[in-house]
Amino acid sequence: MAENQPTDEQLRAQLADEFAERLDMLEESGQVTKLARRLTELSLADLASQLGLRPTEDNAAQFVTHLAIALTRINRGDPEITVSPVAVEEIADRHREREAVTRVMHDCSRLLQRDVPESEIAYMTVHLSAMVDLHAGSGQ
Amino acid sequence: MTESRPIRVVAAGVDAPTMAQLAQDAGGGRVEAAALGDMQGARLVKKGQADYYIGTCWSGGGGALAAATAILGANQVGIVGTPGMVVTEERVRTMVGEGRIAFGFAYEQTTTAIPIIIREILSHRDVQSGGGSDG
Repeated sequence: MAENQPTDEQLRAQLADEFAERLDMLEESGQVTKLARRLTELSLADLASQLGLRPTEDNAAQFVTHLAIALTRINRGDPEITVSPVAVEEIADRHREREAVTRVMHDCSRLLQRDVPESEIAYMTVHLSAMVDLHAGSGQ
Repeated sequence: MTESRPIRVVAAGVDAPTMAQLAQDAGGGRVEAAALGDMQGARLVKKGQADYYIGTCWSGGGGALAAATAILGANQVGIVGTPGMVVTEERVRTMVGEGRIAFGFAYEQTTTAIPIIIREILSHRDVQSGGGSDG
């Protein structure tokens, strides 16, 4: 029998709760802005819904941390980071993940009132792909 | 005489088990290393149950040391490499000498960064305990 799927609102609440300790820690230490935290929670729920993922501390901690820090960089208008050729190669075939990140960052861009650089999209895609692989490996 | 207790290192980030193995190998019997989650690892260092933290992320930027920065404080951590910044002995030596106990670098630098970090930590330990090292 198919598992009941949570509504979008329930999913957002579940994920905010799952990563509350991590995001509290990052926000309280000044490494993540309030807006970036909120966008991280919304983006994570959106990506989980799009890709059928169940992010947890075990499979998504690095992705969540990266996303929050990256969105803070953009929020604060920090200089664009340089993408490594190794990272570019890593995601050469990850079109589905890249398209999902690009879509979600298009929405974030409006709220941040800043463009999201391609280098940030690339690193988010690397981390999302790793999460997708961990998720698949765990049989969830 | 050099201190005999092994140096306890926690590794967190991309492919942490490999990082831990590299650290242990580089230590030549003087290092015990374990792969842990970033928050758990940083807390062990904070409590004195581990001596050093090494962390990676893909960009070598904030993610590698985000948890360590929050838990240990910014003055205890240092980024030693990013895709645009090569890991050097001088930079690591300076940071170890300053008393920093958590080091971050880009995942792609894992095999070069870890032996340098471990070597500098061991040299620092030897100097502090009044011993010497030929290598």
